[in-house]
Amino acid sequence: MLNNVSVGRYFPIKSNIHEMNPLSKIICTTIFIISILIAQDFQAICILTLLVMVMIMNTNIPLTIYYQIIKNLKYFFLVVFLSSSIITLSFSAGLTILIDIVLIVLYLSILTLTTPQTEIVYGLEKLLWPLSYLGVKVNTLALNISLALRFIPTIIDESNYILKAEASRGIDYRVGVKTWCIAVKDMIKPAIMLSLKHLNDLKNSMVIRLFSIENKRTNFRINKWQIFDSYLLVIHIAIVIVIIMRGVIL
Amino acid sequence: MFFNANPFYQVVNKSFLYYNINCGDRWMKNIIEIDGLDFKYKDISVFNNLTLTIKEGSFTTVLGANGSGKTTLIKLILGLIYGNSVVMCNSIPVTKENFKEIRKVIGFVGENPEQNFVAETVMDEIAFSLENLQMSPQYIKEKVMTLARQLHLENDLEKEPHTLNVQKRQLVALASALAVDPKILIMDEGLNNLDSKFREEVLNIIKKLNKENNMTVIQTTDNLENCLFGDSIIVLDEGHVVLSGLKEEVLEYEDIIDKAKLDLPFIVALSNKLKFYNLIDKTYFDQEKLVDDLWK
Repeated sequence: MLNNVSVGRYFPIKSNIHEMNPLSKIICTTIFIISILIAQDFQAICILTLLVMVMIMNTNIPLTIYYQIIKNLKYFFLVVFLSSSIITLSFSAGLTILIDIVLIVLYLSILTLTTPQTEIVYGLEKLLWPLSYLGVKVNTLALNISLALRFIPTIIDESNYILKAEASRGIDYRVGVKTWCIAVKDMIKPAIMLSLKHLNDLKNSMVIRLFSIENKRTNFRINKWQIFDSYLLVIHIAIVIVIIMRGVIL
Repeated sequence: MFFNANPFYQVVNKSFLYYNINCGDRWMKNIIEIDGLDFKYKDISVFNNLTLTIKEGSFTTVLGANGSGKTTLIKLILGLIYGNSVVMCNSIPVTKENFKEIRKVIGFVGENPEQNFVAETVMDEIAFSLENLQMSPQYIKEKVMTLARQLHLENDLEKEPHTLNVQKRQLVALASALAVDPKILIMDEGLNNLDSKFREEVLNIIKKLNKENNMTVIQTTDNLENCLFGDSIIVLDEGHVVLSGLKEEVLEYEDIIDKAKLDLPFIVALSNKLKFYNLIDKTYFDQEKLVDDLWK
């Protein structure tokens, strides 16, 4: 049921996007999400879809991986589509929101598939650095965000483990919605308990290996800012400006 | 050898109550010292007046059945939990204040490495401690490559550690522990998941590091076959040290090992039987040597 979800997992392969600086990737992701929120009309969404497609092509990651991500979240997308259609009383508005969410998921997948966790922490720290003047513990915040991303696959693995344990004892959750709901309900508590135990082991492992939130770390594989980072950043800024200008003019 | 207040062992082993296995001058300094430590876990006493020492440069195997306190002992040495008295590690008291000093000299491999993986690729996983020590990127890359070559992980550096097979995961955990050139390598059932042939290969690598770099190795296990690679043994039973000393001498006490719910290594048990029938006159730890001597 939850097999092969790849959100939050790094996919090691050589590509232009993999070799980008994490800071530029995070800035581009932020700009993209802002663009999605601003984009209201069909043309703007088309431009953003084209951008996502170009980005996906540049990652060299098989398209089946992206398909799997979308496929595994199909029920979530269905709920988003139905609820937004009902709330706005408009089929097209529901469809627009659905496309927006799919694009955001795809773009976040590009970020997490091409960037190891350590680089995401580094990028977030650099991006949020101005907040440290306001007393925000930027490194703690960055670590929390990256651990949350790191834990998505863990929780999915634990859930699968419990679902298989349930299935091996006779629960066939494919039979009907009611059985499925019971299986999922029974899964939640042990999945959380297992994940918490896992979290404790992980904490111990990090502490033993000299990790401390107060300490500075070196990062041996941070990609330097290259010309490709600047190109992509300029393209993203240009797109968001175009979308804003269209909104102003129209 | 230490015998403590456990009445069971006092009765069983009255004849050698204060027998002391002499380690001689082979290892001079105590790298781990525990003196009269009590530790309770939720009102259940795990250690009561625990006393033990581990010598610098030794390859020590802590043996004990499930629930004998092996993992708790390792956690005390690592400073993840604290007892009523201070554990001395490399002449430094294991306290919250000395946390970093202690960790710098210890490399740790746990039983389930997949639960301890922090990073997303094998390369990042091995580099994690070095990054925390703020080593230069160049040094980190060289160190990771050296360890990967040594442990046959060159082709897996960009893979996710979770996706590797059990043996490779253990090797990644070991490489990660060895990255900081630790003075003490602690393996808490760290080699249990390896098959016997591969375990032998890995233990030989560790043994080489033990001899060449004078790295102290502490491994816990309930499998006595593993202890043949070490030179000294500590046998724990229900939180008490019931035997401690050189491998050759500890393995003589078959009855105590049996009472601690452990089985002698096959080759030692066979030697003991052959010795009983006067076919050989000493205990063997190497199958080849035993066969050679019998053949003569």
